[in-house]
Amino acid sequence: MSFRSVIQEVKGEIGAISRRSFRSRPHRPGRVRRVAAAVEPDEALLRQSCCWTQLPPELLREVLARVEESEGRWPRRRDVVACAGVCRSWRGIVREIVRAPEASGKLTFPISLKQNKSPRWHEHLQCWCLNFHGRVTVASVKNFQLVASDESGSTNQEHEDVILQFGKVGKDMFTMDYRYPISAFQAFAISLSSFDTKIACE
Amino acid sequence: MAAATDDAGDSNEMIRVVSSDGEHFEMPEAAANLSLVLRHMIEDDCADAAGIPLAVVAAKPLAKIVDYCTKHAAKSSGLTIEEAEELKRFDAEFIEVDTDMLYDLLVAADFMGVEGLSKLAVQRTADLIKGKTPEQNRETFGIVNDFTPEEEEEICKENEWAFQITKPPSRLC
Repeated sequence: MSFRSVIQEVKGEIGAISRRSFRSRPHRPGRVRRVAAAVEPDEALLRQSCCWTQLPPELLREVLARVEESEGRWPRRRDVVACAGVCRSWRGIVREIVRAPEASGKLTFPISLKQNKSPRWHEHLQCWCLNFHGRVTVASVKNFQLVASDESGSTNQEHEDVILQFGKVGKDMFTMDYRYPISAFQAFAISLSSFDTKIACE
Repeated sequence: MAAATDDAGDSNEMIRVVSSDGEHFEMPEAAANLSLVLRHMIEDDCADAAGIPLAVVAAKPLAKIVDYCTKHAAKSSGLTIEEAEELKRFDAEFIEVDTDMLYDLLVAADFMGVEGLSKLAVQRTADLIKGKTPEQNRETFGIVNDFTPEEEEEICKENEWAFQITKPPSRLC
């Protein structure tokens, strides 16, 4: 086989890859690939790296669903979050697979928990106010409420369920209220972390 | 198309298959029956001496698939505990392949309808994904980051704390 015909075969091969979803290999893959790498480094790189991008969506979904169902708890759960940060197609599929915390009992995306109940500016008192239904009595930047948000980001704040609230009632004294799907341990951990980062000031 | 029509259930019969790049392989009929596509072809009397052409499966993955099916067909029923464990070990070693071959197996097993191998390849891929940051996954699977800088920044910010425990922020995305 002449050098020129090898290159033509390689080029034909690369053209074929982009037309088909499945990649076929030349008869002597080692030899042809080596030549390809020497002559056309960019195309050789393309050839090497393109295949997983072309994985049919239904197969990618199966793979990502396997990752999703294998770990329900943090910190292993972050594998699911990592998948959603790889590229658009992975993100789209992961967001379809992952259900809302209320439905799945699993906390996945950090954004699915948000300090949202945003405080309202109280004109009369000239301060930011948040309704803690009497459970919090001292104004503090450490006071916060977390709500479970759906993917779209709920617009009607009045109807959002507070799943964790934490606030000051006295010097070095705080109340913490939580509900499903947050466990006591998670609630305590999130509340403790607020001493370090001040969630409300983010 | 009538060379192998006498008894479709005869497991001693050898079935020939041809890869997309023209290589011929042989396996017992019981092994070929593990592939839904091949089973249907055999049932439809399409398994002749020329071999069943598999237009989208190259020789390299096809050789592996023939190995897999032959092994599993030989040990298909009435397994002892030891045999079941041996088969498990075979599977574990079988799927220890590079990502190129894994991709080929994943797609080919799905195309040929080899359920056990499909599951094995899907699980192996999922295992490779686990424990990696988005960037590490892109490197492993050669995936191009197609987020806009704005989208990426948002995702990074959103996920920051999830990865802070073990990874420095620069590895987030």
